[in-house]
Amino acid sequence: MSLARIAVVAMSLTVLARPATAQRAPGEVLSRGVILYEELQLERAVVLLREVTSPSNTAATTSERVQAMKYLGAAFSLLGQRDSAVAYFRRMLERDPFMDLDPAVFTAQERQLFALARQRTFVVGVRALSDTGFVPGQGRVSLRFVTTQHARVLASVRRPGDTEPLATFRWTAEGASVSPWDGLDQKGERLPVGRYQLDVTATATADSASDTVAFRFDVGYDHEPLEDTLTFDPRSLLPERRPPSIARSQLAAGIALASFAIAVPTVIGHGDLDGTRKHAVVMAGVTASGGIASFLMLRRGSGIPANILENARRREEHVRQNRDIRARNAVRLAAARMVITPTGGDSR
Amino acid sequence: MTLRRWLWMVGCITCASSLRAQLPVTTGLSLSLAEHRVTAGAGLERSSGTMFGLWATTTVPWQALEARASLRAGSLGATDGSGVDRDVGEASLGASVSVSEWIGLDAAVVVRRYESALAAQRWVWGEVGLHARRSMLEDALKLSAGLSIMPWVSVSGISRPDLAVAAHSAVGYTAGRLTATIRYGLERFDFPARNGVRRLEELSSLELGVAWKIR
Repeated sequence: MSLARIAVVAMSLTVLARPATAQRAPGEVLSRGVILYEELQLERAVVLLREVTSPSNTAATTSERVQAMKYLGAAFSLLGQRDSAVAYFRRMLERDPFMDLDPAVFTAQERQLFALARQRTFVVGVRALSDTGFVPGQGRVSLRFVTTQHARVLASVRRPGDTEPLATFRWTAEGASVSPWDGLDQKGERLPVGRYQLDVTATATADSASDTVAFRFDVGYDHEPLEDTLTFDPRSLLPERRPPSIARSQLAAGIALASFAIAVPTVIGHGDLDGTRKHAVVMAGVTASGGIASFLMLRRGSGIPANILENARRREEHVRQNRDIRARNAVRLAAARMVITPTGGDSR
Repeated sequence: MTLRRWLWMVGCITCASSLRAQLPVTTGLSLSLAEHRVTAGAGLERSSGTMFGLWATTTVPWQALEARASLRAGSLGATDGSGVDRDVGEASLGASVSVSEWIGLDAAVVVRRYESALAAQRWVWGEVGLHARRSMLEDALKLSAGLSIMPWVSVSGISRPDLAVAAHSAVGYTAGRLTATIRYGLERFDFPARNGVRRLEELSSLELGVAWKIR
């Protein structure tokens, strides 16, 4: 094969190979680059890893880019290109301050340059830990912070769109740290369920460099199922007033019995004896008076005292039951675990 | 006394003691204004006066039966020249059973004695009746009225009446353990004619009473 033919074939392969590579998924390219790095085929690894970090590669995720930058920094470190290595490590830290080099995987030379990059880069990061939550006021929020240098950290929690912070807390840290926040607001109360934003500002103690990051999260609570309060059924109440017809019927009963008394001397008594009617008249008067009194009293107030008392007792019982349910629910809510769920990573 | 009688007595006392501890008992005093009229061929005799009474009621354990015992005694003075003064004493035992909320059945045995300067007469009769009642004002006021017949009457010295009926009407007002009552009653006895003379008797009374529920 002539030299010219070899050159043509090589150029063709290169031209054909580029689109083929470009079509591969960034994760696949990243994996291939990492394998080449581990096989110390560093130049070839750099080509693939740069492809992942390229701005034109819109398919690559932030995580893939960060990983690619880590291996680019490591590759350049092994290639002896210190500035490029530090530059890639810095770019990596700016995107993910939590990144670190595992001593079991990376050499001392690589970690030395990574440390140099940390010294030159000041960033703060925040991340939610994947745990099962905590009881506010009795533990720490499941958030982890990191600063690349010794720094004073100020964090405030607020509702997205609000300027007034609900809770503010500050501490000093270097590297990874947990927040001193116990999950309660400034009034010592639990945050209501909803979406919140955590604004974190870190100021390096060495050179006053500062960095900020905002972290959005949802607050939820994990607790035992709550009992529903009982609705009061008005149908369970007894009638508290008598119908108006009762008054009329009692009046009628009184008059009927009075009439009976009046009629007794005539109907039962013997006409020849012409018995006295005085007793019957007195009795009829008393009986009719009883009916009239009952009628008037029922007209004035036809309440049924026994039923009113019983209904009051039932209402009280209902209130007491709901009070007990609310008390039991309050105990469950007090023991509820706060769960923080990130809603979209952090933003700078 | 035989052993059997002793056993019966002990059993009765035991039952009475145990019931006494459980039964609700109400006792009362009464004052009756009574008028007695009788005609037996010698014109109408009228006498009236006051009778005093004692009574007690209880409701037996099965609740539907109310038992009553009463004593009444008094003097009826002649209200015109043809009559004679007489003393009256009466004892009765009765019971009432509720048929419904408004209706009840009554039964009683009454022994009455009239005694005058001329003679003494003993009356014994059994009566059955029906009464209607109505409670008002949260059971504080009770009204009742009833009719009775006396199918069995025994009067010393004369034959049985061929008609013996009675009617009553009563009102009671209860406040706590205290009950005030007023009761009107009329008894009529028509005896068969003898020698063309027909004896008729009638006793009307208005009884005022006060009762105390012991337990």
